[in-house]
Amino acid sequence: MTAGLQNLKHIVVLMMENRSFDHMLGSLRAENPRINGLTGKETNLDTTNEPATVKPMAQFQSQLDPDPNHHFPAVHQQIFDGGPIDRPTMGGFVKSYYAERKDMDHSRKIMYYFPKKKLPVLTGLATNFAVFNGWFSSIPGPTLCNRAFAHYGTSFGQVSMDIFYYHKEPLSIYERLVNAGHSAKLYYFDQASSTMEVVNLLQNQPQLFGTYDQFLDDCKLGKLPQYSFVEPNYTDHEWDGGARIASDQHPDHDVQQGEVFIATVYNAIRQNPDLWKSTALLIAYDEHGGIYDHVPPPGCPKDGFTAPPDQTGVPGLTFEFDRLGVRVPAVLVSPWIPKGTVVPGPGEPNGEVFEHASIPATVTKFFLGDYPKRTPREIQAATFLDLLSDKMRPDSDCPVFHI
Amino acid sequence: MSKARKAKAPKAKTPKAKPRKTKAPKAIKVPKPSGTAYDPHRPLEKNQLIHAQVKHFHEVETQLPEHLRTGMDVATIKTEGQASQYIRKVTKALHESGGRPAQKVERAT
Repeated sequence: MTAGLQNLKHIVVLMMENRSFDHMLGSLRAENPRINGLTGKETNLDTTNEPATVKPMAQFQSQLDPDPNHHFPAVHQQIFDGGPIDRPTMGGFVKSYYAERKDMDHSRKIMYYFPKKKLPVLTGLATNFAVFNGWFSSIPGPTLCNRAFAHYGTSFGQVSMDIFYYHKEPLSIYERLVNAGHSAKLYYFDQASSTMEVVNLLQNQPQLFGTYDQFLDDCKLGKLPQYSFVEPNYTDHEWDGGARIASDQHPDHDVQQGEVFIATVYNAIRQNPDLWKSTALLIAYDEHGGIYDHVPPPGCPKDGFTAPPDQTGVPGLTFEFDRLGVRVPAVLVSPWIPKGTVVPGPGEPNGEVFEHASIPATVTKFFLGDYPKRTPREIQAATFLDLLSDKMRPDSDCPVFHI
Repeated sequence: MSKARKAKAPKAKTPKAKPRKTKAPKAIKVPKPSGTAYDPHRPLEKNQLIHAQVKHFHEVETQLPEHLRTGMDVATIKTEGQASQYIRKVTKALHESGGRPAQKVERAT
């Protein structure tokens, strides 16, 4: 066991919303070819068969309006572009977005990505700590079934936004930990933003939840649980007479506010020296939100469930949970991680595939060890704590954010 | 009487302790969003996620004891700000309800 692992006491996961890897981090390939981002030559054909090329012209807000479709049938088109399901081309993003507004110029904006300088927080963390070349959403579908994989290691057969699965095995990672005498908490932003786990965990076990203000206090006072899951602010809303801007980065919410939020989570951990040396922070996005990525999603071990055509929404297609969704940004932060770590993905030497089932798989392995009551998918999911090394980087070598 | 001039003993050269320089970590400035970013009047239909949230909160509200229900007609919720006020009320009620007693766990099929 490395010194980094010996010192580890807390795992924190921050899950953002609906942005693909290439959209947020694709620009980093220009400065580090080991990061599997964009060459600048990637294209999709539009509905007139003209190529639409990726461009570093993504804007913080008002560009992806309407919200790009990311339900199962739309993602199916984005990945396969009408072709066979053994040949993902990643060629149907522009056509899929065109279907929303029937506006040719607008549909090509789904290929836009952020230049590095526009996202100093996410790119700063990705280049200072570890970035995953192969972290994929768990399902080629929308938010809730993907987030379920982060909580339960499965979506219980769901590929949509309908989620009713409480009191089924496997238990959520929080229940597993608490039942074994460990501590775990989900921190939602505030009660007006609340949680995406409303139907299941909030309804039945509200004691598992805290607010973001409590997260900040817990960091300051050294009271953070062993496992924390942090949710951003999902809505623009008033709170005690002030304005709170959504920080989830879901289109059409402002991406810069999400940057501020990520920076505050990082700073809260970074500013408590004891917490900083004993915490691993994972920042991941739940799914790609219909936005272009160039890496075809790989296959994966079956989940033990199937979704028939009436659930997938694709005529004749039964989904066997044997392939992943579109690639998303994922960054692991700890002073025990060597600067500039790039975790290779599929198709690269020593490449590994990560997905949201990797979250409960990692947390379970670290805190509980052998725990058989899980899906085959979670049991076989790659874990990520082996990135923590023997050497702790000096304080001066790890950035701070000025907000 | 002439004063014998005392020869000054040469001062031992003791190197001055220099203040230890600790290298400051790199500071990255985080820009804030523009003033136009905030829009609680954004139509709910523009965000499928919040739309689904309202549906789910309504679903759980119907299972709350009557005195904890909001009595709101969710069909009247048209903006993100209105949705968040509804979500706030039901979240508060869910905490007040204390959750449900543990039930027997079923194996998923």
